[in-house]
Amino acid sequence: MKPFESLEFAISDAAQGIAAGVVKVAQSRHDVPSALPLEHGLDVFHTVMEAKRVLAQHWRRAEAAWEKAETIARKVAQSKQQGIDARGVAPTARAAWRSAIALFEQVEGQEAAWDRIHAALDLFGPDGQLNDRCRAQAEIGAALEVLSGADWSKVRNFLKERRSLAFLDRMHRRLEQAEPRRSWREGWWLRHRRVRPADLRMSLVQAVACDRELDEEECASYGRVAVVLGDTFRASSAVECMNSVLRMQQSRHRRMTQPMLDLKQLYWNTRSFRCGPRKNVCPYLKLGLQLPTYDFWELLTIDPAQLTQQLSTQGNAE
Amino acid sequence: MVDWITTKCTSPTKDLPMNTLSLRDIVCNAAAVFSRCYGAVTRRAEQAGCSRQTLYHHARQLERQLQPQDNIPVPAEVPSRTLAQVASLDDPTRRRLAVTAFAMGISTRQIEDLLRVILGEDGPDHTTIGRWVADAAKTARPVLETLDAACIPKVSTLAVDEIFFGGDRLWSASSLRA
Repeated sequence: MKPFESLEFAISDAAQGIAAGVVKVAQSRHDVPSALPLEHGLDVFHTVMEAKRVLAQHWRRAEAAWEKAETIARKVAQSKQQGIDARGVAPTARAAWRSAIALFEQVEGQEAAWDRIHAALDLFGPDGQLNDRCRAQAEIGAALEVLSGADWSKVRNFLKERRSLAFLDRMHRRLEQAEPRRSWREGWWLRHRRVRPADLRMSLVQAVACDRELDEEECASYGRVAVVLGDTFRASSAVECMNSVLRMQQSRHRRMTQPMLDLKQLYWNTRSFRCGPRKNVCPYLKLGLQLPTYDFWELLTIDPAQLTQQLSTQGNAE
Repeated sequence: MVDWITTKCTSPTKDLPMNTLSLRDIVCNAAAVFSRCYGAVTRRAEQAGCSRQTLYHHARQLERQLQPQDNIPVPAEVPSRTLAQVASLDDPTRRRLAVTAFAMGISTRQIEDLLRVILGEDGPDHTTIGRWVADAAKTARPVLETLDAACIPKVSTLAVDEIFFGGDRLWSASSLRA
């Protein structure tokens, strides 16, 4: 990570090796006054994945109990239809239904609690307000009371990590730097937010903020705030996406040499996203790299010396 | 008859008569079937040391071969790619297609199959494709070095994973790390 001198924020899973590496690089920067401080955040991706895994297990159990209750209920109905005394089976059916309903309610409660946590890990709250650490911690703390089982321990540990909400601290710090005036800042993030808040009053305020004409100073201020909001990352979804591609290909190809990985890296870095917020943009373009071409084959056949020259003339040097 | 033997020798294995039987034996087998005498097939099968089913099979084969050409039912025409129907791709385009497909994650053998769909028998085999890929992969390194050097100053947020540091996860197919 040493060559990444502009690096301010590293996101990763809970791997201890990576955390130790980030700490080491951050400490080495302390001694250099001009160096940027380096922070480490725990990505939301793995927390969400683990929570979904546990929830799925609970749902499977609840559905199995429900099916069992239905089977017993059918037996009771059949007995009654055939004129057989069902008094022996009926209490079993009632107990099975009680158990199934209780299990269902329990899982529904857990899902609602997880939804609350998931919302707390977003940049904006459901009411349209910008999220912050205090607010998110309060929401997570309240919801975690429901998720008390042993199988939720991994999720709880992830959420209790301070690094899980590091992205919110960094976002607020950068927003303050981008626009010191609080009222302006709030106006701009209301304007920036695409989704309408659930709260009607906030929705009205947002509509006013969005429709208002901006003067030159306001435009510049809004631009700075929008950059921060658009540049705040919470999850390492992109790297996990790349992992899935590489792992799939490693199992398919008999050999995976470094040149082959280079080839794949170049291809996937020049491939435009087909949908989503990054539609029609390739990773190189998203990073702001000005290239003479973003075509994989053309880049592959270009002379590296010529490419270096073109990159320097196109203002890629910082 | 000579033509029949020649034809049989070049046809698929399932149509070949048993190697241990001579042409005379096959004709005798067929004759036993065509004679329609009670017990002829069984006796002949015992004599020739083969099953009754084989005798009927030989009879059918012989009948098919001796039938006049005009009476042979013409098999339904299977659409086959003639030279004119096959798409033509120049060498650079073939290389581009193969290398891009490999970079996407398709294996060389799969690429071979796909190119055969387009090019017919003229398509390259997987070893040639592997060579093209290796050539392209060698040229990717210097290009990537240049691009990486330009990217590094722009990176302010980095998502890191063990996979990029030679982590200790087990791999199913290879010991190499990405």
